[in-house]
Parts: sequence; C-alpha cells; structure tokens
Amino acid sequence: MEELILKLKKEIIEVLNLEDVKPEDIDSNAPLFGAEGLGLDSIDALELIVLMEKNYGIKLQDPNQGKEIFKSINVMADYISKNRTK
Amino acid sequence: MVIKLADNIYSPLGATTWENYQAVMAGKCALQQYSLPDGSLYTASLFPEERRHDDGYTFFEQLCIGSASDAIARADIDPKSPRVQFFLSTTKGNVHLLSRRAEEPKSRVLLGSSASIICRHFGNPNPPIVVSNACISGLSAQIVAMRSIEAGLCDTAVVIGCDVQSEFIISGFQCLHALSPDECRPFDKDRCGLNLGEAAATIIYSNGTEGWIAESGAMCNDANHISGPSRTGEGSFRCLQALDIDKEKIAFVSVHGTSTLYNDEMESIAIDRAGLVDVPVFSLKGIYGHTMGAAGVLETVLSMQAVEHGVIFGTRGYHELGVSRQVNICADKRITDKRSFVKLLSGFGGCNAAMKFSYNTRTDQPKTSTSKPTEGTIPSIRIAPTAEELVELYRTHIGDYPKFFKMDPLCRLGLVTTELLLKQSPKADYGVLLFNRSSSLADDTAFQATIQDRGNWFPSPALFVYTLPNIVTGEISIRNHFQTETNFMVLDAPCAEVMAAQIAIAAEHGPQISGWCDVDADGNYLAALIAVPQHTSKETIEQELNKILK
Repeated sequence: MEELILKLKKEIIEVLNLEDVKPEDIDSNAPLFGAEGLGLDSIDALELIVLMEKNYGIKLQDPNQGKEIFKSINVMADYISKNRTK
Repeated sequence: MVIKLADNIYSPLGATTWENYQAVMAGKCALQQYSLPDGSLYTASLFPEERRHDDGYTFFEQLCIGSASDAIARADIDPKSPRVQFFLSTTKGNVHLLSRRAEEPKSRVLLGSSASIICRHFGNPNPPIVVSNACISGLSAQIVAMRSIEAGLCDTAVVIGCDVQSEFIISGFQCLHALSPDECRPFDKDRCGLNLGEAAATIIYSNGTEGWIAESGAMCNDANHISGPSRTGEGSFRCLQALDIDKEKIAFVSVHGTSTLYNDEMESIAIDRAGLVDVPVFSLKGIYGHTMGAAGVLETVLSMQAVEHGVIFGTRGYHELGVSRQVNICADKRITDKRSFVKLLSGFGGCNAAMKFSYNTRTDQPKTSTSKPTEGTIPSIRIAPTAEELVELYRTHIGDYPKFFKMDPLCRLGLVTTELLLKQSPKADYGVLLFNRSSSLADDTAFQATIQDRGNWFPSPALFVYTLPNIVTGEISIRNHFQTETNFMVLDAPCAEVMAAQIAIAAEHGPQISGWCDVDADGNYLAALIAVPQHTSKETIEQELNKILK
C-alpha cells in the first residue's frame, strides 16, 4: 500500500501540475479538496477521474462518486487497490 | 440607430431564416444520438455526414460563406466596399484539421487565417475581426459590430457566427461530464447536461431608422471560476442591470439555457436578481443544441422572427421547474404583442453578455457620451520570455498564486504581463480586451494529443478548459477581481490600427487592460499590453501600440 500511495502522489503532482509540491509534502490523510490540504478544485476532480481510468482501469460514470473516493490520498489508494483492473 | 438589414440561419433544419422559423414552429429538431470512441453516448444536432466534405473551402468555411451569401443578397449591400466590416464569431473554427496529419496546412486552423479566406471570398478589403469569446462570442461580436457602426468605423457590419462539431469538441465536453446522452431538458428538474449543435448564422447591421434596432449590449465577467458559472449569477445579473430593462416592454428573455445543472440555476438567479422573474423565458437548446459560436447570432435572429410573428417560443425538453428561482419558463408557445426582447448568454472564462433589441421603436433613450478624450501617457509593457523565463518572472514578481502552475502558457503569459503592467498603472476595475493570432493553438495541439491515439484515448479536462483563448481574460479577471467587460479577438496579423480602434471603443465603457498576447505553435511568447484610461482616443492608443508591437 505504501508503494501505491507514493506512486499516486507522484502521479497527482504530475497530472495536476502541482509545481513546488513534493510527495512528502502531501499528508496522506489530509483532504484533497477545499482550503485545507492541496486545495484542488472541480476541474482537478475531473482530471483525477481520467487518471483513475488511464492508470488503473477504473471508470467512474458519475463524477459525484469522486467526492467520496477523492477525500484523501489514503481513501483514494484504498479504493484503487480494491477496484483496479490494471 | 443601428438596425438590422438582413439575416440568415443555416442549420440542419434549413438554409434560410424562414425555413428555420417554420421548422421550429412545426416542432422539428435535428437532435440525434451518436457515440464516442469510448462507447459513451451523446446527442447532437449535426449536418449529415455526406455534407461534410472540403471543396477548397473547409466545411466550416462553406457554412460561413453559405450563410453570409444569403444574408448579403437580402441586405443588398456591396461586400467589396471598404465601409463594410466582417466579424466572425467562432470558438474553434477548423480545429478538426489538427487530427489530420499533413493533409492540410496547419495555418488553416488559425481562426484569423480562415476568416481572411471567408472575407476574400466576398472581395472585402478589410482585415476581418474574429471574436472568440467562448459561448458568448455571438453576442460579443454583435455588441462590437454595433459599437463599430456607432463609432463610425464602418457603415455596415456583417456578423457571421459559426461552429462545426468534431471529436475534439465533443470529447472535450464529454470529459467535463457536461453532455447529456439524451435530448437535453433546459431548466427541467431532470436535466443532466447539454447537447452540442452546429450551424452558421449571419446578421447584418447598418445605420437606419426602421426595423430591428440593436438598442444596447453589455458584457460582464464573474471573476469567479474559468469553467463554473457564478453561484450568484453575478456577471449575467450585471449585464441585465446594465441594459436598463423595462420589464413591461419586453416580450421575453431568450436565455442561454444549456441544460447543465449549474448554467440554468445561475441564469435563474440572475433573472430573479434583475427583477425579471415574471418575464417569459425560453431556451432554444432543446431544438438546436448548443451551437457555440453561432448561438448568439442564431438565437437572436430566431427571437426577432418570434416577435415579428407575435410568438414566444416554448422550451423543448422542459416539463417541471428544476431551478431554485420561480422563473417564468415557457414550456409551450405563447403569444405576445410586445416588440422588444433580451438575449442572454454566458460562457467559459466567466464571461456573460446580454443585448436588448426592439422593433421600430426604442424602449429607452440612447445614451450619448459627452466626455472628452483622455490624453496623456498610457502605461505599457512588452515581454517575449521563454517558458522558463516566464516562470522566473512569476517567482520574482508574484510568487503567491500557485494556480499559476495549473494554467496553460497563454494564461501564464497574460497573467504575469498584466501583473507587471498593473504595478505601473492606476488602480481600477479594468475591462480586459486581448488580441492574438494563434488563439489557443498550443493548448489545442496538447489536447488533440490526448485523443489522437484510439488505443490511448483519454481526453484531458484540464487541457480542454484552456482550449479557448478568452480563458486568459477570465484568469486575469479572477486574479484582480475585475468584474466588467472581457473579450478576445483574433487577427490574421497584429495591426495597431484595427486594435486601437476596437480598444478605443471598449475604453468608452471603462478603462481597459488591452493589447497583444500570443503563444504560437513553436512556443514563442509575446505580450504587449497597455493600461488604457476610459475615453482614451484611438490615435493615442495606436501611437502606444505602434511602439510596443514593433
């Protein structure tokens, strides 16, 4: 799981252009969206949906599912490990 | 007064305005369901596949020429006259050519290049002005045309609005989860997204005394988000407020009504805030889909037809109110004896626009400016950095706006240059009017790469939202809390005279951050911006532009 969490952090930094952010700067339990944590927005959420499909073969039909899955890196990694098809 | 001379609508429902009006009155629509490479379904109003061929002109150019030819013949004007100015309203023009490797010259993707080809077809000697202001382009172009006639820049303005659909646009909206698989349902409680459509529409304006009067127009930015509408309907509300509407005199508000959750809700709030909650409202998106660059012209022309025939259109797809305000949505056709209406649009980049039209008699007195031109020095800046140098400029002069790194090259360039310009300019609620040649070509190419390979087809939402050049005006407005006019024009080449004339017109309505902001296909950056006080003369602006454009 630790390996997946580190990989996920690197992927998120790359795909969302989080310049100046390093994997160790991201608290795995902190919220990804809103003022705390990484402060991501709605377009970032859509980009994470693409990341899930492209890298892990998980297709979310309803963007609202993302609200639960993208709560934190830990929640996201847990969901990926249980549902990944690649 | 600026009046309409003639018009045309060229859509899957017909090749003239009259054919389209009859089709709408007969309850027809051309919406059909299609599928994308990933199997997802979408519904759109498209021309038949067999029509989609190039004959020297691309399909996009054919539609523009076909629509304008009919309107020009009806207006009985000479398009070769130097007193005629062409305005082209489009968001993506020939963007589909990016998917064809080496078949077409890449220059044809440039909006200014395609507009020049259309203009040359009619033998017009003036450089055409492309208004590419996202989904409000069609109203922005009409407002610019109206003001150009009022300012004496031209006697006649030919405004062509057009967009054709392609995998580029459809996959982009699909990855934003904005498309409905079925026919859209504007303002309905079960609405779940928009339908795309394609059409060309033309409206020709001139000075006159009788017929359809373009009374007034307004553009306002939400300064809130580049793709999400304001939760308070701020920009649309301000536009409606600026039009000084007497609700007893208008037959209806022809709204944007895209059928997305957020747009329709936003419009209902803006209409309510503007005190127009009792005024009949309809959306044409359930018939034509969202025709993007054509929408503002097409929906204006059809609304004129409706008023002339004493009709208020119904909103196809609407059954039960699904927005928070009790707006007066017309589910079915109604009758009216009123002779004025309002057209409202909003778009990505946080832009909003509204126009008021009246038949034969104005509903208000025209506002005349008595202000003397402001003269004096205009703050200016010119930078041509590399991508790396631009990041360094950001770190040195801004540094506290991490959103910068999420932006595309054009937005980064516009944001940093504006920041440097504002350090030497007086504080004001600036409008933002930018020009370039490449539109959003660098981002278009980057987005195309995400859908080029069928086996690796993952359209990127973060890239797609930047495939509109006017997003940079939205980013500048958000950063600086500017809530007035934003507009983006594309030219075939930088031209200080054309730019100065348009900037001076915009500056009549407020101070402007304006000038050239371009990132070309080879990654060359150039920004040459000026901070123009209100009521600055064209000559003063042109002088300054000539210094920084060289």
